[in-house]
Amino acid sequence: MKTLWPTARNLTSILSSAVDEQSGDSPLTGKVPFFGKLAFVDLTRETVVLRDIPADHFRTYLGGPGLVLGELLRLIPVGADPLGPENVLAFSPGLLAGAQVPGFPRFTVLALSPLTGALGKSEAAGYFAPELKKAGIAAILVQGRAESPVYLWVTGQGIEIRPATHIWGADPKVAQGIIRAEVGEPRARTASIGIGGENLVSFAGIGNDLSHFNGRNGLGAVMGSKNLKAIAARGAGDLDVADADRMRELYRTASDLAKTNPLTRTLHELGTPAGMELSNAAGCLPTNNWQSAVFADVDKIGARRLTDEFLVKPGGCYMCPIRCKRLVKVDDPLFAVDTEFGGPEYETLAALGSNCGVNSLEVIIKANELCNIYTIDTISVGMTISFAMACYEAGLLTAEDTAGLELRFGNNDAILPLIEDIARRRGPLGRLLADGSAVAARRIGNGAEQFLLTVKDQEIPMHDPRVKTGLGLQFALSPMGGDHWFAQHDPFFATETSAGTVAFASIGLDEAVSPLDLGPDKVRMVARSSFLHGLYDDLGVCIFAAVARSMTPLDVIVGMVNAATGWQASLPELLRAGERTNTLYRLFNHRHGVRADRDTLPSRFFKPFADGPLAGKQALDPLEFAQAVRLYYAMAGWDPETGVPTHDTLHGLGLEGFVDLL
Amino acid sequence: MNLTVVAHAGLLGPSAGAKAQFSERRDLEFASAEVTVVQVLQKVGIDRGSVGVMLVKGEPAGDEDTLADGAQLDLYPFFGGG
Repeated sequence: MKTLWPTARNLTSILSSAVDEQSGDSPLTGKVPFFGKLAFVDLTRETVVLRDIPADHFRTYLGGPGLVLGELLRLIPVGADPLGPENVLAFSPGLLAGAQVPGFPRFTVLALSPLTGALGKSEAAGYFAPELKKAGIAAILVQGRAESPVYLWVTGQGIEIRPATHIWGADPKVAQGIIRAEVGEPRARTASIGIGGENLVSFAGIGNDLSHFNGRNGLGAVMGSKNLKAIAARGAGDLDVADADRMRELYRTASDLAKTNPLTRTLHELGTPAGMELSNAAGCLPTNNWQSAVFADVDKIGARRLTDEFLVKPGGCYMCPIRCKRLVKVDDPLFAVDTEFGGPEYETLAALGSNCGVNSLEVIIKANELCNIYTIDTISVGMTISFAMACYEAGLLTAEDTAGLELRFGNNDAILPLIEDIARRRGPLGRLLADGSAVAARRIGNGAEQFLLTVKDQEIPMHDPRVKTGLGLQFALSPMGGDHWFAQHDPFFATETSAGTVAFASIGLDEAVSPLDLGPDKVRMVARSSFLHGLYDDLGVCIFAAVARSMTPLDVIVGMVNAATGWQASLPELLRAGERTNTLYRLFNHRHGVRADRDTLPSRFFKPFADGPLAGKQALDPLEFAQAVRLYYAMAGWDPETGVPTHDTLHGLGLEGFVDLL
Repeated sequence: MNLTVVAHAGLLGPSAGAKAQFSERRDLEFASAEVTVVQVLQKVGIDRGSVGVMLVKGEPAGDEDTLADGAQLDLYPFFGGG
């Protein structure tokens, strides 16, 4: 590997010269260079280094996860404690974040995950990533541990480490208000943790602008372990793109498409919650810890009621016309919520609703608000509670274990107090569940594992692999454990006129594949679209703004990259960068001992549906599934048995500098 | 024969001048005595590729299933991911 940046070996000496290097930068005024700097923050030594990144490095790795994975591979030692100072936490905006086009607001947070022991990686949208970019920052790497709580203040002048003892324990809204007052910048954007992250809850996330979340993989706990309460940022000006006229043209193209694309329009009208009614009608709505696939009270907790009775207005992200977020209010004072903390998405409605047998939308909306204030992941919270409910109903947990709480499916009253207990690690049940369902199952024993629905110890999202087999492959193969955006979803390719079949002809996915197929055609769809999703994350693409889920086609995305950077990159070149990122994920997990035996699915999916229109049908075949996983390895250029990237593949992708990590 | 189509969750836009609803209902009349699901989709102008779930009396229906006089066809868009 070319030594472009500090490595573990020479980091100390570079960090020791931090102050001089930072103060040597001239202030950013007016237009901000499109390509930002890489910031190394060491909280133990209280130092900051800003370093230039060579132009060819951006062209090879783009931004987002791709830009920083090489550093994380070198800097995080094997055997590192995810909650120890040796873990490195990266905040990395997508390459196009901050450019004035819709649909690129995202940044990725990465570290070794305390939930999975594998790569921790989670995206969030909002306004934070554009602000970082406009402060001249391409990415921030945080290592060490502050002696007492701190926050980072990021501007065009550099990065300042400031004391945060007085806001430790404060909810994110209070913390944001105090930080904005202290820095004298009411428009500063903040990403922060709540008490979930402070208390090292294994599935704590990070929230920005109160309603956008890097929810998964417990990265908020890593932030808490470093005594880092928040990062606040304020840009110095607009990004200086190579061809501003072309960018404006492409902005208009994407915005016009947003008005006509039917999927985009549905996102605007109903947001993601429409998935409740759709999944229930299809007979695949996770219900009662997935023991059931239809929920009799779905109409009480679905999109129709949310829209008619609770929606205040749609919310959105930087430069985006879609506004898919649901901002809600509740009239019942018992469940009153602060609208600024956002409303429940489909995942939350299902995880904390039908999956727990909860039929009160008021309870789910309040639960969503509590999770957002405490910054804990609603999917893992809902799934951990439903796991505990299954254990309770099976007699594996008793009233003594729950301190008298009737932990049965459908007990609406159990949810809110339990979220409080988990976020505070309070009481026997809160302490048991705050490390996630997989750890809880090991502690409970007596066969509690049978109720687990985790992959690599992360609770799976609300999509049933028995109706979308490629989704099952995503769950198994995602480097971060159960995840539903590692690749595209099967229904996009169901027919020759489906959105994906049309949109992805240019990357060879122009043939219809049944959602239930598990043969080579399906594996090819998952493999190629997983490379595409590597690219999407590197660019900061929001899944809800780009094909196939939404409006912006691939050629427009390529046009935006070139207009912003001045490159003449082709789609194959960019897709190759996505493939490179995907292989770096795999290398990271290999280095940290995560092996192919963890590329599996929960046993539930190898049994047929228990009820509903699909009762008795659609069990996945374990041998066929294992064969498909091995075929994915082969298509990715990894050893078909071990899943480890081969020397040839590393050389082919220009990653020969990482061969020593095999 | 007469049929009713109920398209849910934005699959069919509102009738002219009407406010968008979660479920849009269309009453249809056909000259033939036998109509397949796909023919109904063509008549209301919904692309098959955008439909995820098709139900008759709560049971999944296939493209070539025939519908009886007076039947109601419920249509949901496919759910790509939340």
